[in-house]
Amino acid sequence: MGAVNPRRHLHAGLLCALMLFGVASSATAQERPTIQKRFAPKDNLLYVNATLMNHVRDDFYSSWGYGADLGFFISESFGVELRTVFLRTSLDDAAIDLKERIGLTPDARPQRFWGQVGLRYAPGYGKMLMWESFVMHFDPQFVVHGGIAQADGRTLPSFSVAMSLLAHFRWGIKLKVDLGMSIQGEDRDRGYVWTTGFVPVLGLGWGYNF
Amino acid sequence: MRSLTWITVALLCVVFVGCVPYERAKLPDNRRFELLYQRKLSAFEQRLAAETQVGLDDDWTVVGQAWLRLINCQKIPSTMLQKDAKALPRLIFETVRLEDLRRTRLIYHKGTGFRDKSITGTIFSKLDDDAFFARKPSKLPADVIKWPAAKEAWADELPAQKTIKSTCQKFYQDVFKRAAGERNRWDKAQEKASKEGDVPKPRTQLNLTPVDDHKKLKRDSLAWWQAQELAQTDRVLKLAQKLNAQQREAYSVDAALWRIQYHRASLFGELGYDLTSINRLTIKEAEYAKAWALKHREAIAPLAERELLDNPAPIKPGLRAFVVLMHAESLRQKQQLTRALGAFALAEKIGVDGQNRYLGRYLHVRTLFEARQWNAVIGFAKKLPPSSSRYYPSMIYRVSYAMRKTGDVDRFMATAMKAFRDKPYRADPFMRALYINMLRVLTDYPFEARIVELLEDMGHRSLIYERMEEYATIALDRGKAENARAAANWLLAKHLNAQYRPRYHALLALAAFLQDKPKLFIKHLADITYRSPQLLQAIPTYRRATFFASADAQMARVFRQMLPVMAEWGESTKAKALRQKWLMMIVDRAQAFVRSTPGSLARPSLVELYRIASAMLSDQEPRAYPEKVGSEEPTPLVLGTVQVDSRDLTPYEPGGTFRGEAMRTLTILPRDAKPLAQWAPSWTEPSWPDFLKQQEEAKKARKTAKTEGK
Repeated sequence: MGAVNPRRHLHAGLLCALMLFGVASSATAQERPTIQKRFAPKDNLLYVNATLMNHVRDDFYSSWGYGADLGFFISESFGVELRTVFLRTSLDDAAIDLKERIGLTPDARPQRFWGQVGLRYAPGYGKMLMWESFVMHFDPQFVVHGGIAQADGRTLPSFSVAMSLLAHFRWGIKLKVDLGMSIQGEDRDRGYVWTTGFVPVLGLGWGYNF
Repeated sequence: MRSLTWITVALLCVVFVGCVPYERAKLPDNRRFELLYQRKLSAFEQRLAAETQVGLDDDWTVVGQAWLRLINCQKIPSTMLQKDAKALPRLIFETVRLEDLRRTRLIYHKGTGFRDKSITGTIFSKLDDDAFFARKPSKLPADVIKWPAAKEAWADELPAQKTIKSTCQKFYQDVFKRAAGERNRWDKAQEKASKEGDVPKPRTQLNLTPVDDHKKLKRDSLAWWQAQELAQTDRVLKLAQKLNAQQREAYSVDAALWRIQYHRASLFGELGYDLTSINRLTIKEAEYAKAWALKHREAIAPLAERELLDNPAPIKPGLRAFVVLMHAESLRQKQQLTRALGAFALAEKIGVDGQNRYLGRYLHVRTLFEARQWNAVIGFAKKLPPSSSRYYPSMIYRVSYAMRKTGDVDRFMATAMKAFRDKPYRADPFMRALYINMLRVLTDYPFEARIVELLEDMGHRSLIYERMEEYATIALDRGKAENARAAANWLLAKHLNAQYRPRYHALLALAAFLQDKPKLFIKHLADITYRSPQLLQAIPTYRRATFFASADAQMARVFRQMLPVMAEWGESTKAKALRQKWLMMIVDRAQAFVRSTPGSLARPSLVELYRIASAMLSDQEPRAYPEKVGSEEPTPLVLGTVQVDSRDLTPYEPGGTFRGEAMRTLTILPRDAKPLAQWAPSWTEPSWPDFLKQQEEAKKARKTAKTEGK
């Protein structure tokens, strides 16, 4: 019987790194590949997540939002997603300072709602040993979203690209963290302006395989 | 802010509760040996590796590993299995090792050139074929992840399938090479001995047969491998005693042990055969050959006795019958005729197949013949082999002999006549004996046209005169003078070759003698040696002796045959008078002939016969006197004719050996889904390529059906 070393909890991390950076590993002759039944297969998976979003933009506005993701994986690697987020947008500290000093506010309007359609691609699968007693199974994913945002009467085309980690737990519980970059266009008083931002999303939900 | 805290706490709780415990992987449901039986070798190996990894390996895992090594032509160390292993897996493990040894020995044997076949007829002809198993990993299901090879393994992972490469080709080459080396050494030794005019070295000294102490044998020689195989069969049979009764009596185990016992007996037989098949055996080698033969019989006996005790082995009938036949022949040789007959009858009942059928019947008839069970012998009249069989003459002879013995003369004659139509009576000593018997029977009847017809039908027409003469001779021998006379007259009338006429006259003379007709005798005697003046004119004097030599010899033959007959007449007054009369006749005729034909080549014989006859005359007869007085030789004593029973045909028995077959397999293929009794000795399913082909065809058929349905 092969010795099992619980300290090998970096296995998954290494694997993830290998997949991401394309570094090849070299195994000795006696070693042989192993197999494992996927803890949470994604093929034909319908999931719904409650999400918490923060949108930090470069136009003096920041948003906190909550919403839901509804998605379906058509295969182990590809899935589509519908995302809706309701936002609470406020001026950032720099904009408040300016407003107080010179009474000017940005010509951008605060966003209230995001509706997006996205595509998820999961090229790998990984696992981590936690506290030497639990295993966390996860997928590294690349995510692309596209849609619109509503900002006090204006409609903004919005896109985001993210790297994601979808962790699987028992009973179909899913936890995901998307770390994305956003780009939005807005027809302002001084013309059409493109803004970028950072969009971390935390989601907790449940999935069911058909 | 508070709500955010609560949300975070709730999230952590959910995640914590939903965490997946780190547990050992569970073995998949597909069973261990079923994978082997389905020829999924890669999956089978993976299963065994998984069992080892998760710590669920047991004795059967080792048995599986032994199977895997056997399939891949790898060595199977005896130490693979723990000493405290259970009896059944231990037994099967050792049978797998036996198979391994058998294969090595067979290949080695073939490599030496002392055997024609290697693995033909054994399980290895399939097993060592790469295509027999699915050796490549099957496609992984979508829900299974394959992790790359790493130094360490997670407990929740199982080894992946891998391509199982066979090393059989290399193994075969290695063994062949070593065997060829041994053969070269043997050939060189023989060549050297031949050059030096020495006797070839015995095989026993060259390790070509295991003798004496097996431990002294040279390692990796033919004899060593043979000894290893024999020792392994003994080991397995010994291990079988440790099984419980239920296991021991299970159909599969019972059959396997039978096959191993049979194989062991075959090995002994083969060793004996190997020794006796060479030309010059040393005395010691002859003893070894005898010992192997004895061991062979001893090994076969329990298998046959089991059948005789009405406890049939779970083996195909042909093999069962074979061992019973072997045992029956052994009993026959030991003159245990009753037991031998029982065994022969049982073998016939079980069903003897192939070439053993006629040999079995022949030996059965021979045994019945030796036991003088004539009616039972006659029972084989309808079970005779075809006339082309080597056993036909001896069987037809015995069957017809039994018919004659039981007084069923008509049937005897019909059988004999049919036999002569199928096979010439000159072809074989048994046919010749049958022919003589037929002639004897014919002499019992008056000589008439029917007899002539029968004699004509008994063989080729051109030989009818020969047969008639033999008939007449036998008639004389049996005291049927009238028949002999009639046959001789027939010959004189039909056979126009003058060279033969003295022989026929001689027959007539002898018939006249037996009928006590002196005048007729004198006439026929004169006919034998008659020299017509015309003939004498035509033949020069110096050639006459040679020309009439055969005729003169016939005269000597007549006298020579008469003397013993007269001696049998007894000592009554009448007999004495009759003897004196005929002795005088011989003396007179011999004297007259010798005087009249001084150059005859038969003179020495006739003079000798004259002297014997003279000496046999009564003392009152003056001609007896000079033969008795002053004679340096003792007086000849003629006792009479000697009645010899039928010719001893033993040296001409067709012989032959029963042909067994190599055991296809000596092991058992364990099954998970079936009880022990149903475990098979080998694969009964189609080969892997055939299986794939069948699947393809089934797919196509389904598609066609769908298309037609639409």
